[in-house]
Amino acid sequence: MSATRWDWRRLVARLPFLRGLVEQREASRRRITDEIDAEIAFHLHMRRSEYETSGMSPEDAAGATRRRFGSRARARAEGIAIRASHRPPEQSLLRRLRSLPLEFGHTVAQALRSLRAAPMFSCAVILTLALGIGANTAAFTVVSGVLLRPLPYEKPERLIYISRARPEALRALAGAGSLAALASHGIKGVALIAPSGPSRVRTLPVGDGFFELFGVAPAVGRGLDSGDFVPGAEAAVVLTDHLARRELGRPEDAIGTSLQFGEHIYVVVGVMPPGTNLARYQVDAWLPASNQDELRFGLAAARLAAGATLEQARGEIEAIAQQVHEEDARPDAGPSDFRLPLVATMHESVIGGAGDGLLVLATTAVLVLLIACANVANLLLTRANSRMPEFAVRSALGAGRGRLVAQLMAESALLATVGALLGSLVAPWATHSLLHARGYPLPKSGQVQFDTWILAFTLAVALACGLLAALPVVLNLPGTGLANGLRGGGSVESRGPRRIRELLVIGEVAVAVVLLAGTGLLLRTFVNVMPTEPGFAWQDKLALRIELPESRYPDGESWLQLVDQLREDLGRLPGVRAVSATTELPMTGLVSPFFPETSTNVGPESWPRYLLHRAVTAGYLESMRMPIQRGRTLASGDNRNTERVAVLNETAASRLWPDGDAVGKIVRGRTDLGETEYRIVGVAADGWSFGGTAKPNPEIFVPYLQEPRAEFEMLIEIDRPGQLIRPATEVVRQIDPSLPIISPGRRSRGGRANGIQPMGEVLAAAISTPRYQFAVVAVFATLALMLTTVGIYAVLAHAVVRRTREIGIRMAIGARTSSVLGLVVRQGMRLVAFGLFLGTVVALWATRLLESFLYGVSPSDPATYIGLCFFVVGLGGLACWIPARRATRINPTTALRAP
Amino acid sequence: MSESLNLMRGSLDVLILGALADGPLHGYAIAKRVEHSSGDVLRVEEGSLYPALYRMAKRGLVESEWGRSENNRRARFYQLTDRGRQHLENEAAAWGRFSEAMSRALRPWLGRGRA
Repeated sequence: MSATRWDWRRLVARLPFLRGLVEQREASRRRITDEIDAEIAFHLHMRRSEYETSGMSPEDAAGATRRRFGSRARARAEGIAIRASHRPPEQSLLRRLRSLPLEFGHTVAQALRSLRAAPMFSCAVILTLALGIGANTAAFTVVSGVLLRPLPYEKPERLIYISRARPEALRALAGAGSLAALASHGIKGVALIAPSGPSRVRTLPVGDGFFELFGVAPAVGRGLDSGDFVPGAEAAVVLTDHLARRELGRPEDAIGTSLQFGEHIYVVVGVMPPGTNLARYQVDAWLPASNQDELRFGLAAARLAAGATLEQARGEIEAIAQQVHEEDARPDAGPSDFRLPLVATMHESVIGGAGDGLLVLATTAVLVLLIACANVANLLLTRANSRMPEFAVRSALGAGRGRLVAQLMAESALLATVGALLGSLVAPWATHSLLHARGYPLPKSGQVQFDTWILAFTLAVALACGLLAALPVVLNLPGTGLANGLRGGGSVESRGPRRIRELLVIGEVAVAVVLLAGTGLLLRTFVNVMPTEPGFAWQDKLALRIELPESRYPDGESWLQLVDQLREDLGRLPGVRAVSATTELPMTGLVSPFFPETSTNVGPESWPRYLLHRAVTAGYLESMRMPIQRGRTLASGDNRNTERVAVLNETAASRLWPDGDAVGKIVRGRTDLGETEYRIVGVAADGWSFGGTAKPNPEIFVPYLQEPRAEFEMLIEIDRPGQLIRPATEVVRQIDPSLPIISPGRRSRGGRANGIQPMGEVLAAAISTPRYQFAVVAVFATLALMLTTVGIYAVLAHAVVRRTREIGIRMAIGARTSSVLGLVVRQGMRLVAFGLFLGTVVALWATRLLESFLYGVSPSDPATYIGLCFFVVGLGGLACWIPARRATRINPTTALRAP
Repeated sequence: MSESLNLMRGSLDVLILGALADGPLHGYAIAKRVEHSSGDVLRVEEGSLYPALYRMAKRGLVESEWGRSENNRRARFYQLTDRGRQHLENEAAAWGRFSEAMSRALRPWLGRGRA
């Protein structure tokens, strides 16, 4: 043991500068010791000879001298401590500074020794802090990458983003004085025909000047420049690192390769660095917009002119948009058709709504850390109590109060640093989970990384935690009366530390209650939006989305043919019960509106602005098990040659015809394809259309045969869930090997993955945001609860040990087990009750921050709070029970004999 | 021993300074002088003398050097610094005021102890 013991002297001996200092110090210490010894020896000699002269025997004289002098050892030790202490009054600042590193090393070494002597204690503290700090490092890594770090563009603070503008207005903005440059872009999912097979990729068709605007250099090759926008130029594409590696191997090798995006062949001219994202959409490739239609969404990035502010730019953009609108108003455009363009900083637009969620994340992480600190402070207090004799001795040996404080702080900081290092080990994993638990990446997640900045943050947090946790102990160090500690022996504790300890537990419970309230509310939200019973059968379904390219599927006839073939071939697979097709499958976020013409017999308050329009094949409603309430379903007999028919859902029927039966009525209106009218033949039961809102929307179902579309979803009903994805994929591949199979499940900002998906995954994707919020807060709340329970337990266990004697006496004079049990449990539950009350008050206020994440539950939902009270009381009771049981097993005779 | 009083906190320092007022002394001589000057009422636990001396040396109230004792042994001699002398005057005045106040307050009972 002692051979492996870490000795600071040995370390110091290797450093010449320190060695010199150490030798110098040791020499001076030796000299002082010699002098004191000589002085005391002289004194004793004088006293003894005087006694002997007065006629005492040598033995008596020696004894009398000893008694007269008192403890020689103490005088010597005290003398050495005083004279060898490093702070003589006249010491110069320079000398003090020079001794600082040595003193620091000494303090740290001493702290290390002291911690090694209490391994259980050290481990408990380190683990607690590792949890708290690890969670915070992970949270901060994400927050820093997403919210704090500037976008990786040239002068990103001068970039702004315009959305919801009319394309004509964007063109008119070319002359705006407050803008130095502007480039619009669209967003387009296209089929990529590549060596690995067809896939759907997201591209950003961009206008001239887009790459120059951001000033991000490609990793290989070049960006798109004005040469690429000249009519007749060879079509160029810039790939993301991700796509280049997936399809073409090394980015260097990608340059010059031809790839087919949609209908056209493009030559790869550049590959961007990994994680590059220009503006708000996460895409796979950038290509020059081939026509104005690709830029019709009114999205543009712009750079502010020198000296111009965002406000000036916004004012000018709005004015120009207004002007364009007035000059170019369609005759039928009402005032509500014009919307002012949205102008935001680039950063705001990239972050979007992710910021609020991250704020919740950061808050919960900090709360967990506070609880961890409180627990550690409690542990330190307990330990300090049993260490009073040690402090007293050190104080008697000349360690000043400052010295003890320094040592306590050093110990605590050391523990926190080790905890932080341990936490840093789990932080990358936690960060990864935080980034990916949502199912799709957070904006700017490419910029999230662990670096020196994060490390500095972690260490700073660790130090802050260490000092914070040591504070109660330091404040409770008895000032001059340390000598009392020698007598105290650790069995008595003054009122101060106990008060602090109890306050800490109350605080912990309160913070845990706040977190628990948040968790409960988010859980209720999650349950509210969870489409377990969305009004249609999803458990036995696979879904895929098809977007047919115009070149090979030019008209409705070819679409119908393909859908027929898909239904037939997929239906032949063993285990498939039925196959149907629909446009805009529910829960995918896809919407195709049907605007009904205003009727004279219904008030505007009931009239829906639009119905969700789905063109479905025969068998869709049956396969989804949306029962027909009145009239009939859509049948394969409803085709091109028959009357245009439709089925409404309950909501639509009751809002269009509140007073009568909808069946048989005619509804007129327009879709994106133009004016149309349908005869209502039936009414189906309601189902959900979107995740995140449980209320049914008005829907209208029309026969796909009558209104075929080039983009649709296939719905495969199977015998057993979780099967057939591979064979079904094969079937689609065989019908058209170059057709991308798109996952219908919604991802961020409309992006979609590739491959057939079980319908359950589509539903999960629709509620990924509430689920993510709930999961994050739930994980942190669980951590908080664990720590708090341990905290309550530790305080009570300590209290029982402290009161062993008292409890022994009570039992000796006849206290029953139940009354001892009650004594301890009461003490603990009192704290829990205070914490619960305090936490509830704070939570009622604090959960308002969550309001935008809640659905169908108010921030002060009584059920949540009642449930939470039971939960906390139950858990608190459990934490009290164990020490209480231990108290009842105290043996009165042993307890009374205890010191 | 019973009639000797325990030294009050801080009073040892003043007594030492007082003992040194007439000139340099070594530690043993200081102990004897303190005892003698208080009419053998105040008894110093001699061991505590040295820490007190070192403390005052630190504070710059006394200074010391090695020298020869009357029986020609090596001994460490202490003497007052100017600061020490100043301190002694202040403290002595304070003690005077204190004991006077105490005596006045306790006058009704003074003397009873002797009866």
